[in-house]
Amino acid sequence: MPNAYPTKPFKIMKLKHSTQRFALKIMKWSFFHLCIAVIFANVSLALDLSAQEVLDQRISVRAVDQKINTVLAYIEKNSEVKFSYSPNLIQASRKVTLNATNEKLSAVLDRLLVPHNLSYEAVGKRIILKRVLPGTKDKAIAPIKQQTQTIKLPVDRGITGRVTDDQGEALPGVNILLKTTQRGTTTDQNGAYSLSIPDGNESTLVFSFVGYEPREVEVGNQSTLDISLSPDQKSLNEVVVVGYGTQKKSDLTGSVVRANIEAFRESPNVNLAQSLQGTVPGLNIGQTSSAGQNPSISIRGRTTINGNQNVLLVVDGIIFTGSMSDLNPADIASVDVLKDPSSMAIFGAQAANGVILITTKGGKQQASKPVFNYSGSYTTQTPSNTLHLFDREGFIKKSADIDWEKAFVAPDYTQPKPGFTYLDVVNDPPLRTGFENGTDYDWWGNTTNPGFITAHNLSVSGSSNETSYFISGGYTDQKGFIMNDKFKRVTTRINLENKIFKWFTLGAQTFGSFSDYSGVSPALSGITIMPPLVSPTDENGEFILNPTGANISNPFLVSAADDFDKRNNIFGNFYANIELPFVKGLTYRVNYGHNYAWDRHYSSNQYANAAAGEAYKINSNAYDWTLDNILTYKKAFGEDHRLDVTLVAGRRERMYETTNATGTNFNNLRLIYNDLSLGTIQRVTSGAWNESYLYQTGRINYEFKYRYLLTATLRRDGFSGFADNSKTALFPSIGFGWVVSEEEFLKNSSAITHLKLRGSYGSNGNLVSRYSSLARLNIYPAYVFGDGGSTEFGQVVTTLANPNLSWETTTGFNFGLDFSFLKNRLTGSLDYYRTTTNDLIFDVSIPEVTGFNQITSNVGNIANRGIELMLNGKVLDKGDFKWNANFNLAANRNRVVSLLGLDNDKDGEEDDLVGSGLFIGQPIGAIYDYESGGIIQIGEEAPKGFFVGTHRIIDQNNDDFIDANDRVIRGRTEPAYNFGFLNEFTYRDFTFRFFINSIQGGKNSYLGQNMPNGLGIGDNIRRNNFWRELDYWTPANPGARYRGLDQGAATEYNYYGNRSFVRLQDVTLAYNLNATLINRLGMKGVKVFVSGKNLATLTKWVGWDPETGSGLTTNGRPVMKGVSVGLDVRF
Amino acid sequence: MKHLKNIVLPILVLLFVAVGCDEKEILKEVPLDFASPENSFVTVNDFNSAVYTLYDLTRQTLSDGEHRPLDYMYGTDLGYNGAQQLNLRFGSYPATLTPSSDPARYHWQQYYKIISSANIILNRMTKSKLNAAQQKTIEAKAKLFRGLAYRNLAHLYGGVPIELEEVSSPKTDYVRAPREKVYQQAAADLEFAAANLPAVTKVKDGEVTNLAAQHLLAETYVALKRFPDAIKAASAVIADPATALMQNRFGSRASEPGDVYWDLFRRFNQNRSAGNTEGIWVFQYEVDVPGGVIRSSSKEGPQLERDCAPRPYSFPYKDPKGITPFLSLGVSDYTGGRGIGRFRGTDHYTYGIWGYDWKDMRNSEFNFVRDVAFNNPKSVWYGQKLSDHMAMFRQRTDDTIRNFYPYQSKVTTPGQHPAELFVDPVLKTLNASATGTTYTDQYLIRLAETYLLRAEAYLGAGDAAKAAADINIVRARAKAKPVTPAQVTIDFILDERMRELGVEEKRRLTLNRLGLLYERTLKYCNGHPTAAKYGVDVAPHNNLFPIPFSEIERNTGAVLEQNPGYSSK
Repeated sequence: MPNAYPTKPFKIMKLKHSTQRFALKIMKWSFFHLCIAVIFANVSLALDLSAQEVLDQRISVRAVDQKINTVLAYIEKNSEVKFSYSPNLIQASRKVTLNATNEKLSAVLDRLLVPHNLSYEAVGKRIILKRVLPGTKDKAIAPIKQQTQTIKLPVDRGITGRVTDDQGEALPGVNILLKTTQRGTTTDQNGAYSLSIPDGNESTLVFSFVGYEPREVEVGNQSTLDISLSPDQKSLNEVVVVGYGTQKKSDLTGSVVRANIEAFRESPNVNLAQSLQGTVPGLNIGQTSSAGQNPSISIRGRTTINGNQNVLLVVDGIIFTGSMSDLNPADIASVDVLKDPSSMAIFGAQAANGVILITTKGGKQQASKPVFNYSGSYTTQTPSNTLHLFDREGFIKKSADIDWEKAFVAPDYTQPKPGFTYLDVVNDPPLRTGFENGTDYDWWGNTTNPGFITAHNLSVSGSSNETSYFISGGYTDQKGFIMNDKFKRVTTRINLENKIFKWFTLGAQTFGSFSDYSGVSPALSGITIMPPLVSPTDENGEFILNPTGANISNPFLVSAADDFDKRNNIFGNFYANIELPFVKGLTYRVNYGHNYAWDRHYSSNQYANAAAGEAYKINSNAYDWTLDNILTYKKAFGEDHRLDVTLVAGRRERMYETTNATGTNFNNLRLIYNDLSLGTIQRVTSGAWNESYLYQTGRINYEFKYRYLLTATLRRDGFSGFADNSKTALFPSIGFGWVVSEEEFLKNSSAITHLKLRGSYGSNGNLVSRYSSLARLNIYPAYVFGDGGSTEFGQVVTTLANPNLSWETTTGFNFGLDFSFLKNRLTGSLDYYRTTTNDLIFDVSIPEVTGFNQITSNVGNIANRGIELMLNGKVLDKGDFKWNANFNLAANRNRVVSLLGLDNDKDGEEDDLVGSGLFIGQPIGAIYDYESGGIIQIGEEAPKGFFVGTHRIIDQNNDDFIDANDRVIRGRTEPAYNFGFLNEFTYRDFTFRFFINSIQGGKNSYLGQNMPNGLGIGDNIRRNNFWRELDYWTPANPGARYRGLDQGAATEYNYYGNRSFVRLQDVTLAYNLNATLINRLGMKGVKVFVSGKNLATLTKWVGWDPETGSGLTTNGRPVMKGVSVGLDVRF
Repeated sequence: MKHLKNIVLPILVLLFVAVGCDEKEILKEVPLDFASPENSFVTVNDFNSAVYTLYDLTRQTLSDGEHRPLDYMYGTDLGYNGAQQLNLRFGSYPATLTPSSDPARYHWQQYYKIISSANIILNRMTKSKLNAAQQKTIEAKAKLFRGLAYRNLAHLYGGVPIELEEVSSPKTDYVRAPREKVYQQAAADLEFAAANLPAVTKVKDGEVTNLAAQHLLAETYVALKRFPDAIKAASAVIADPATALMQNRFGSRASEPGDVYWDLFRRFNQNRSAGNTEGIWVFQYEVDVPGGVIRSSSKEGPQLERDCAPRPYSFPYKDPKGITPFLSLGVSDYTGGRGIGRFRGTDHYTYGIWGYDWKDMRNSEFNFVRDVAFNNPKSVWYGQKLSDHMAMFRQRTDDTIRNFYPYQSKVTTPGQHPAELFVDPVLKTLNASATGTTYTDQYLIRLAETYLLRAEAYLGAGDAAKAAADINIVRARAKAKPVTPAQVTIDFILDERMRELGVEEKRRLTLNRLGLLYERTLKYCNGHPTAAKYGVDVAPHNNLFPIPFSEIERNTGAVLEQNPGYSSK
């Protein structure tokens, strides 16, 4: 077959091009190798700065009447130290004046602190500030042990103890104050303290530390008191990841939410996304129903119809195209979600559907010894809901129901006809035999079994002064409820960061994920329809190919495959961070990220291909790389102005290729898939694609007087998938914030701790799928002339080109309110947004007279609006007992505003695109279908094309004719609102949590088609089994939901069920072992827990699960319920 | 701020230059695994490839699969749906054939895909490197397929939109041309094809020829009532020295008991290379060869065996020893292979038409199977005939509607199923999941039909004698009693087509063309006696298919009128 189109003229050009690329590649790889070399060379060179060296470093400071914490922050930024202090203790807001030029840090600190009755101590690079207590004369640099010995107060009795974080790590520098007195101390390097307190049982100690929630503990008569402090998750100083940088939550102008993944650490979530389910308003995570499955993810409403709908995943700053299931949830430090146009703007068009920023764990910033962490759990897996297939007895009864005219007595057919037997209506000999032999085979029971999940994770993290590391390994083994539904995953991660010079940091975030999905489940669509009157095997235990005698294969045959399905992914982001000399605050960072995924799916099955045998190997791999150049500039001008500029120039490329080699008609398959040449018929197919991205972004954050915030972003995006003249586009956005609580009139309010108004406005593009603008020609084996002739290839144009295909643009605003009342007892935020998407990328249906059925075009616009609420309350805080509650609520509405802009029917209103299922003023998920006027009963006259037992279709337009013009909008598939409710109770070392998740549809929303895929008629429905829960019509059941099963009508009526549900999604009880005991064991922390997943669901949905929308279909799967026990040890 | 400008800007400029200098090149999109139409219509090979797709599309539409050849047969005077399905396969017309139904849409879409692909060839040809001779041949081929598509559209739907250009932008304002205009368009295309396609001796087996074009043209002229033109076109086919009705035994199984009519439908006997001079256009099928459609491991290709052959393996009756006398799987013998007994011939087809001459060769025991032998060697009745136990095997309705009834053996290949399909090669039991195809090439046009077509033209022209003569040529080959000119009516011709062609004919096209679908179906097709209490419920408006509702919906720029009876208007 000669070549279909000339390639010669292009060859020379191509060569040139590839040489260039090759050279570029070499350069890239050498750089990459250099990075690695440098990292490893420097691990050994790392120096440990002593405390004295820290205090001896020289520094210049000039401050006139500035807050003391501002001065300290300045020193931190310009030297190698970190301060630890409690702002209350040092009265951080009092103003100081200081002038020092190139002086020793110790001298500077002496001058700064001593006048204010403060002392300090250096621990490594950390300097702990303390109040000098009355009656003590401690020298600034005195070791803390001496200091505590020198306390000379009226001593009644002593108390000692140790303060750790929730992971069991010592917390140095924690302030401890005897309540209502000035008496207190701080913890030493090991987190230990000792303090004298008055006799009696009334004493209460207050433990406080920056970034942690303060705790008050009654001493009672104890002499040892070990406590742990938990990080203050809701702290307003929380730093969130915003894309190419981080930002303090209090400085945000857009809608960015950090997910509370800590609350779900003990849940049996194989996939990280499951830990996000229901916790972030506006983030919608679907349910999973098979092992290793990725749930669906979407953010806010749907802004596109045929454009890209995927949420952008960014792992450690690099866009991640792998599967979410490749990430080990145990490795994840934080997850931030970007929701509004202005915060997504930095990622441009790829972020059109929202962004999830995932940050993996690293070593601690400060020097610390290695900490090992092991966690393991075992989880049971049983269905959260049960459906039942008819057993023998039910099946026979159902057969009589279908042939009711034969099985019941006229005229009302409710009394069984005497002498009727199943043999009167059954035709298939195997069913007759089964009936006569008393066969009652449980197809579902033999396909399913309770499953389990086991998970083991081991990690070590730590850091010296220059190098920090986090290394982990994880193993997950999941066996689902359905036979052969298996998933195994091994993950490894190495995150390293090395400070080579004071201004130069190199690092790598790498992971490998190796998943095994091997094993084929029986064909559920066959299992559920096989009648209980036949068995899968004969008397010799051999499979029967067609148990009912019909051409439906034995559903167990597919599961007899030798199946090998391994999916691997390796990811590496190599970065360099350079604090550019000459200009303070100017940093250059380069990210060079790679993701390589390769899947091998091999399978062989002697029963495949009508038992002729088939074996295949599919090899596919995907590779993408990202090169980002990021320049940031942070600077404060005077006390009032702060500027934070980020500029990014980057490029990304994705490539994919796949090869499928199949052999069929094997003599034998002893070599399974390893020698495909033994197949008499061999077929090879392959495919490949690539796509390129090129982008430049700039973002400016400006803050004035802590009160007025501005974020402006401009992004220029380029994507290969658009038509030639629309490859690039420009998208601007802007955001404002007003911290009202910083204004004079609120500054001293005791009720309002923090109040901020934010507003953002911006526009963003969306991508189209690659090659959409091009016409396609399909070349395929078309014809063979003559007996024994050879294959002639045909060519056919399959899609129309659209030379104008361009960006779809979403523009909108987001208004938000962040608040914190009553000293952070009630915090939360409220967001309202509205977006409009213009030039929708949409596959417009066109008349098939053209030879095509659609063309991808830019048409019309849709609008989304929604509201999101988050509330965190510290409901109770009574000593040992604490109750925190967290509530979130989200609602979104979308609406088609305009389509083609045509009014062909001249009714003065724009026409709907009925043929494409789109209606002006209706949501995208509008359900346009017929309505039922009830089922036609015996004795009633059936219209032409309809029969007794089928639904009567309502003639909506009253033209005495039932046709497609009688369809109406029956509701929509989108939910009305959803909410999540998390409660956490802590009592001493016990934590109890439960989480309720709910999606609600109200009256006409969140509908799903709730019936089998085709109710069936004729031979098949008589032969097939189905779910007992299917409420079908019989003369004795006139009010049924579904029609009778013997005949279908000209127009099928579809039933839509309400998917609303309330689910008890997670319940956890965790116990942290007593610190003293753990110390004795040489451990840093031990936690044991039990948890439950999906323990209860309230819904009216009939079927497997409302959230998956799996109803009474033949191939549905249940959502799993699990109870797990687990252990988490740090040492 | 000065610093910022002095340092940052140069760095940035450098960066952006480094990354973005060859932006056009970086964002250029070159498809890797599919070709682009822009550079794929250049050489004669390119155009031949495009023509091969036309062959494939035409075969798909008229012959491939479970529904496609059978959409043209169910619910006609030929047969009905025996599976008690009222809203499928024309079990009941109002329940099956609505503007939203699949048959209405499928055929429309397929024929327009053929038309559009032909239009692309015709449009691109002018800018190609083809020489004049090549252009003429390619044009003739493209026009043959386009003419066939318009002809069939006009048969099925009546008037339809005519599009003769390559569509390169979304067009949504189509209106229906009158049926006659569509036939005229078909005739114009076929005239060109008939004048410029190669002769039958100059082509590979299965390729289209001037004779195929002449036959189609003849039928189109008949539809236009241009009878003299039709006679001329049909005569061109008949008079061609390379064509003749097969009169003697031939081909792969000529030595076995049978007759020449039987030989016409055995495996490997349809093409000229097998000595067959009767096939004018034969759809090519090969087993397990890419492009050959049929596979030994799945049901693909013409499913006449599956639908039209009975399923005696479903009889529940047992011999005196309690053994079922038919094997429990379909068997590659005269019991019908792996039939499922869904297409039950009407009594007119199975009995009525043979009353004229029961000894007609086409009604021989080889060709119209009316009795079979039990095939289970374990049964004491093994080798005995079904007719020996007739009373037992006709107790229930389905026994004679599905389990066994007279059928044409041309739907199956007794003893010749592909070897891979045998579960037991000795018993010749067949795999239930994959068998059901008719494993032979399929005639789209056979010379015998050309005679019957010319007879129709003569009848239309008022020459009953010549009509009778043509019919008698066909009957003579079948050694059947001749017909007199006085007996020749359109109904006789339609009955003769049934006798000669049976399920080989795309019956609906013929009946719709003549406007006789309603009349003949009402008269001869009762439907399944327990399900279709009122017959298949055919109505006069069913003489045409409805225009697909989806097409009316998509054609937003103009109104595509619906055929009468399918909407309230």
